[in-house]
This record gives sequence, C-alpha cells and structure tokens, in this order.
Amino acid sequence: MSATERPPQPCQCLRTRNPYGTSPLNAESWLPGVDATSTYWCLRTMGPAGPDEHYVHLSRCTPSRVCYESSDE
Amino acid sequence: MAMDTTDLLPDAIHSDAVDSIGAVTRTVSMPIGIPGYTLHEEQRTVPTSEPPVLPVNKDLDYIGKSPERWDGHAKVTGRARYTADVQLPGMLYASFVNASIPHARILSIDTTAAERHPGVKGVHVIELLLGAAVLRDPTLERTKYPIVRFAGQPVAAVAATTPLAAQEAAAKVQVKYEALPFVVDVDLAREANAPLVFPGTADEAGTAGGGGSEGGIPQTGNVHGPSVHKHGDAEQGFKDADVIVDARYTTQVQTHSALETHGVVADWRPELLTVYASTQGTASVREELAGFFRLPKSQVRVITEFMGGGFGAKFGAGNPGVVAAALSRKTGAPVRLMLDRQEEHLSVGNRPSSDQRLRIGAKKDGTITAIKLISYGTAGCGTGAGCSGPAANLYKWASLHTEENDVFINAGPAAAFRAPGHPQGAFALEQSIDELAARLNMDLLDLRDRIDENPVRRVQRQIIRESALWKSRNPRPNADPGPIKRGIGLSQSVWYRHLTMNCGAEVRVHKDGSIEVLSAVQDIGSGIKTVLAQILAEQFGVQPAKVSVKIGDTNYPVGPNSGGSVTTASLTPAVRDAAWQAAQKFLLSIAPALSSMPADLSLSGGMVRSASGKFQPIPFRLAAAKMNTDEVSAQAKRIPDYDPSKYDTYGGVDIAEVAVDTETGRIHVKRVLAVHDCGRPINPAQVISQINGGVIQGISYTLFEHRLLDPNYGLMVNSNLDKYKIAGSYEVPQIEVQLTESYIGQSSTDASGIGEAAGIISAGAAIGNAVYNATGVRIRQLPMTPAVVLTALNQPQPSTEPV
Repeated sequence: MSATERPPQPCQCLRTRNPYGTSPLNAESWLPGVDATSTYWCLRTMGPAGPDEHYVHLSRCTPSRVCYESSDE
Repeated sequence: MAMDTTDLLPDAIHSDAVDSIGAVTRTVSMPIGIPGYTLHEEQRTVPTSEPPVLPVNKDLDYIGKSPERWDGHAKVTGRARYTADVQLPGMLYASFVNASIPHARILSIDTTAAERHPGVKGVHVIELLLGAAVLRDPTLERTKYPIVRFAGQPVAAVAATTPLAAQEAAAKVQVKYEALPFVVDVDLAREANAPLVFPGTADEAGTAGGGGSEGGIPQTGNVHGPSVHKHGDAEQGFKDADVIVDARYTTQVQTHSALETHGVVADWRPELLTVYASTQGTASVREELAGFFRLPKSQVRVITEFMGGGFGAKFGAGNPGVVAAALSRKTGAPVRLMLDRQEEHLSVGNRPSSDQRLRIGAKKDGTITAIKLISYGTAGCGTGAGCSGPAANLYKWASLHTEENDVFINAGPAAAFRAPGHPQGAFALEQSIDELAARLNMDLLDLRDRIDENPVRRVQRQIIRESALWKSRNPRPNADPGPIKRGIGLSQSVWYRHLTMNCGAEVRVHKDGSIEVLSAVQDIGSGIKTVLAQILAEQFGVQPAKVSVKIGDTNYPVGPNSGGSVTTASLTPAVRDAAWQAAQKFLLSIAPALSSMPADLSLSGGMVRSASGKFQPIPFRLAAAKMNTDEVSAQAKRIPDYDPSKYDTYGGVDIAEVAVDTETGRIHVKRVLAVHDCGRPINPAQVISQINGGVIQGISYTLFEHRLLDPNYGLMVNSNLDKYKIAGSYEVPQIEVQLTESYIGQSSTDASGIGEAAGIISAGAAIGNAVYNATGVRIRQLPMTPAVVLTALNQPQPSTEPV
C-alpha cells in the first residue's frame, strides 16, 4: 500500500501504537499508520489475532472480515 | 524572563473563541537556527491567543537550565509509589497461567483444583469472544479458547490473597492441548511447507481467515508482504551509478527489559473502575478498558503516579489490564497483576529481527542514484518488522525502492521499541554508506555533507570533524598491529517531528500563592514533571521546586501517550499557553488591589513588578493574597505547529571508539561522542540523560541482547536477565554528549523530542564502522558476539578498493 493511498475504514477494534501514538477509529488518523513498523492488536482479544483467529492489520481488518465492527455501530 | 503583558487583551484570555474563528492571528519574529552557527530570525503567523515568543535559552531563567529533578527526592528516598507499590484494602494478587507449548488448540481448561486452593478468590479464563462474528471454518468452533501461538501466551489467571497462593493455584490449572506444528526459525518459516502460524491466505475474503486484502499487502504462507514503496526508477538509478554497494545485514530480536515490568492494580466498583497502571499512556489504558468492557470513559480512571520505564511496549490495557479488571469485578476486590521477568520477555513485546539486502548506487561525486532495500523480519505472531526508515529519510536519493516483509513465527508478538525499525535500518545503511565512501575514495564526513542537506546534521558533522576523538582516528583500516586493535566509527540517526494534538493541561494559581499544573500525561522516567515545572517557573518567575506538578491521572486534562518522542514537543506548548493565560488572569485579579493596570505588571525573580515604578517589587505570595478570588485557572490544548508546511527531522551524529580483541573476539566500546538535537532543550541534563541511556541501550543491542528460541521445543531459552545479557556497568563507555540547540519556530516552547534518536539508532552502525576501522573486517550481523567477530575475522573480505 502506498503511504499516500487512503486505507479502508478499519475495524473499530483495531489498535496500534506507531510512532504517532495510539490511533483508534477514524481512517484519517490511520493515514500515518501504514508504516511497516506498526504493530497491531485487537481490542476484543488484546492480541495480534482477531476473534476469527486471523492476524490483525490495517490491511486486514476491513468490512469483509467476519468479526469486523464498524465505528458506526 | 520578565513576562511582557503588553499583549494582554480580553480575547487573548479566551483562546477557544479566538481559535474557533481561526483567523485572528498576528505575525511574530522567532529565533530560528543554531546559536553560534545559523541563528537568525524568521516571521511566523500565530494565533493571537499564543503567548509572547520565548527568546533563546541563554536569555531565560529556568527553561534551558537543569534544575534537579522535580521528583528526584521522592525517587531516591523510596517515597515514590510505583504501580507495584500500590496497596489497597483487601487487595488480591493475580498470577497468569501461560501456555507451555508454542502452537496448540486448547481443548479444555480445568480450574477446579485451582479454585479449591487456599486463598484463591477468583479464576479468569481467557475465552474467544466471538461477538457477532460467525466463523466460516467449522474447525475453529471446536473450542472456545484462543489458539495458542507462542509459548508464554496467557490463557488464564488466578487471584488470591497472597502472591504465593496465586502462583501455586495457577500451577494447578489444568490445560489440555492439541499440539499443532510450530516454527520458530525465520528462515524455515519462509519455506513453502513450513507450519503456518495463521493458516490460509487472507487474500480470499470470507475464508476462515476472514481477511480481505483491500490494503494490497499479500500473505503467502507465513510471509505478510511485501509492503512496497517506490519513488523514481531505481533500476535506472543503478544503471546510472558509477559505484554500487550491495550487502546483506541481519539483526536479532531484542526483548523489552524496562526496570518495571508490565502490570496494573484494578479496582472495580459499581460507579468507577480505577486502574493503577505502569503505562506509557494513561489515555490509551482508559480508552481500551472502556472499549473492552463497554463502559463510558467517565467511569474509568487510570493513575500512573510513578513509572519504571517503557520503551514502546506499554500502550493500552493489554491482557494484564483486562484480566485484572475482570478478576476485580468477579471477586469484588482490588486485584494486582504484575508480570514477572520471564513473562516480560515472552509476551509483551520485542524489537523484530531483520534480514536486509541493501543496494546503494552512486555517482563518483557521491550523489546517490538509487537505494533498494528488501527486508524480511519477524515480529513473532504479529507484524511490524519494517526497517526502511533510515534508507528512506537519512539522505538524498534520486530513486528509492523498498520491500518490507513480516515473517510469522510461533513467538510472542512484537511491540514498538524505541525508534521502531531504525536501529535495524541504520545498522545496514550507515555501514553501506561508509563502504560507499571507501569505494569512492571520499572522506566519511565529506560524503555525508554531499548527500545530507539537513542544516543541523551539517553542523553536527562539523562538531565531530573538529573533535579530538575524531582527529585521533586513523582513516586507514586495520592500521593497529594488535592483537587488540583500536578503531573509531561514525553513524548518523534520524527521527521525525511527531506530535499529538490530543493533549492539554490546566494551570491554577491559588490565593495562597501556590501554583499547580494538571495533566493526565505520565512521566515514564524521562522527566516531564521537571519540564512542566520549568515551564511554569519561567512564566511566573518562581523556582521550579515551588510549583506543584500533578500528572498521571485521567481525572486531569488528557495527556499525550509517551512514545515516538512526542511528549515534550506535544505537551509543553499547551502547558505554556495555559500558564500564560493563567498568569494574565492572575495579574487581572491583583491589579485593582495594586491600583495598577495589568499591562504595567510583570512577574520575575519571585516578584510582581511594576514597569512604571508605581510600587516596589512584591513577593509573589504576598501579591497572590491580593487576588479578588480564591483561584484563577486556565486550560489550553495543543494547537498545530505554527508552520505545518515545514516538516522537521531531528537526530544526531555519533562516533564510537572500540578496542577489538582479535584473539578472543571481544569488542570493548571505550568512548562515545554523541552530538544530538531536539529543538529547544528544555532541561539539558535530562536530555543528556536520555542520550546516555540510548547509547547504552544501543551498545547492549549491538553486542549482547539476543532472544534465543529452541527450535526443537519452541521455547525461549534465555527468558530471564541472568541469561539474557544486557550491558552492565563494565560495558558502559565514557560518553560525551553535545547538544545542538536548534530553534525551528513551531510552537510556544519550540521543543522537540529526543527519546528515539538518542543513541540507539546509530550505535550498531557506529560500532560496526569502528570495528571495520580497527580490523578491516566488516561485521554485518547483530549481535556482535565474540563468536560472530572471530568468524568474521577469519573470513575472506570482499574488495573495497576505490573505483
């Protein structure tokens, strides 16, 4: 993913701590977070795998995932 | 500094109203550049709500000076209360039950014996909370427990009346596993038939993985990647090059070893969940606990009175936070859950490894035509092993191509670790730049002058060039007859001006003359308490020790999470703005009693002064007694940088002197000269302290630290500090730090950060280049253990003859 591309709206449970701080929720705040050093975890599991047992990542925690939670919910 | 009150306007006190309009600004002249080198003034347009521009440090009373740590006395006397010191009535002690094998499906967890153990009050089993999700892989529905992906993964916890009872009971929890194939070797994990840490491809939306790949980063087996960045045509750049250096570098996994382990004390009450946490972000802990338990944030309070260190792994509530809170809710008692040192090594983060192939093409004059970096690294069962930051950001290039890959293995997930990705990347880049200089027959500093236009770094190189240590360097490699050979090496570092706008502070002045600042920010040991005291002291003209600093509590205005070197740069402008506004209110409040106009009053030297000489200076405390109210206060939030079009980096230039014993392979780092910048240093002694720590941590990473996993059992074999070697006092060299005071005109304090760039980024390459200077042998592998050094010394070296 190019750093300038707008990422998809991530699951509201995706968390990261990258050099910019902890950035939950809206996609705008995720824009700096596409950096390849970002580590991710899931709020529901507190680990690197989501409730569906797959790994969580900005590129993975998208609406097509079965455990996805929208920030609108 | 005598405070100028001529800007005192009613609007200036009510900054929100001004900011909401967004157009009420004034033009100010600010100091820019480096005193003694490039200092000059530039214009900035700032909101009228901003305080007057600060002069350079030499003209200030408290900012830029090094008063003793505001909380130093409490720390050295043991009065400081860390999370593990918290004692609450009826408090229970919790202990985790951790997975004993690296990859498994949990079939059952029997807690019967544990629950019957004397003193046990509650047991919590970590279950898979599927929520509304419906898994499409039926095999995953066989168990309600999460898949175990590394040995040491928490699976349950026990709360008891004593720590020993909790540990004994935890040992009685029976976990029945269905063992799964595992892999802990990065190279094996990349093979096609390797056991899969996350089965299936996530690129097919709707599989058991759930995946979906809109982000475009593929998953192939255990490899997540590549994450590709291209700028310009790198292949053409290599064709245009006169010289190409091409090498492979590897770095190891480094685990977190903060003095204080992860932990919390959770006290769940019907009206409020109070959590004492060892955290780098009180705000992040509250946000996650509120989110996990679906509580309003107003019903979660997080307190961090003192904190024993964090290097990036202490964000959010984590398993300790949610498990302790769940146990507290279940037992109706406060619960303390502090990890032990082994758990710290296994489950709460590490710096990923790297395996880098780095190519750099350059013209004969040093101009870089192309950089290509392909990296693989493991963040265990997580992601985040990228390391392209230095390659992308340290030097000018005509083209850049990076491909970064995460390799999953059955080991604990990585967490951010001081300058994520940069020690790895700089280790490769800065050795290759030295190699390039040799091929081009150029001086190391001259080449960097050619390819690095950063004005601060240019000054820092000049300081290095003029240093006695650098002048003592013999540029000819392997000139020392040995067997102990001396060498000196150089490396630069780069970090970025990251900020968070999501922070603020309140400043109060009381009628008894006391002044306090309140912010939820946590002091992770680097000294923000002292810095905030200095900001207030400068504004009110009182000694820093005389002000009260109340932080580390989410009852106060939200503070920044402390990571990425953001804390001082983000928070101090808000604190100064609040202090300035509170000072204006204070002067307004006392002016009638002094028969003066507020604009005639100023604060300095512990006194309230009259510019017109209407009265003799009055001690601040006595003047405060004349306030027409018991208290005045002001809150301020961080506003954006004055000139957001300017994006600054900071960093440094470090040189290291080493002695290499060519018979034993031991490297002894004898001296380090570290020249660094961080904008306006608010407290130079604390900045130097951070750089000292970064240098030592960098030496430790370069020479010693190494997570070792047993390939047969998948267990970490050195998961304690007696076997996981960290640099000790004997390995600490003579460190000289020179700060480059640098003004950028971006905020009311003009402070930047230091934590990341403070030595750890450059240590590996500086030592590597020093070893090359000493021996003529380039070591491209970390850690540089005696075995690695001896192996390298006995290998034929490729030619580095000039072109």
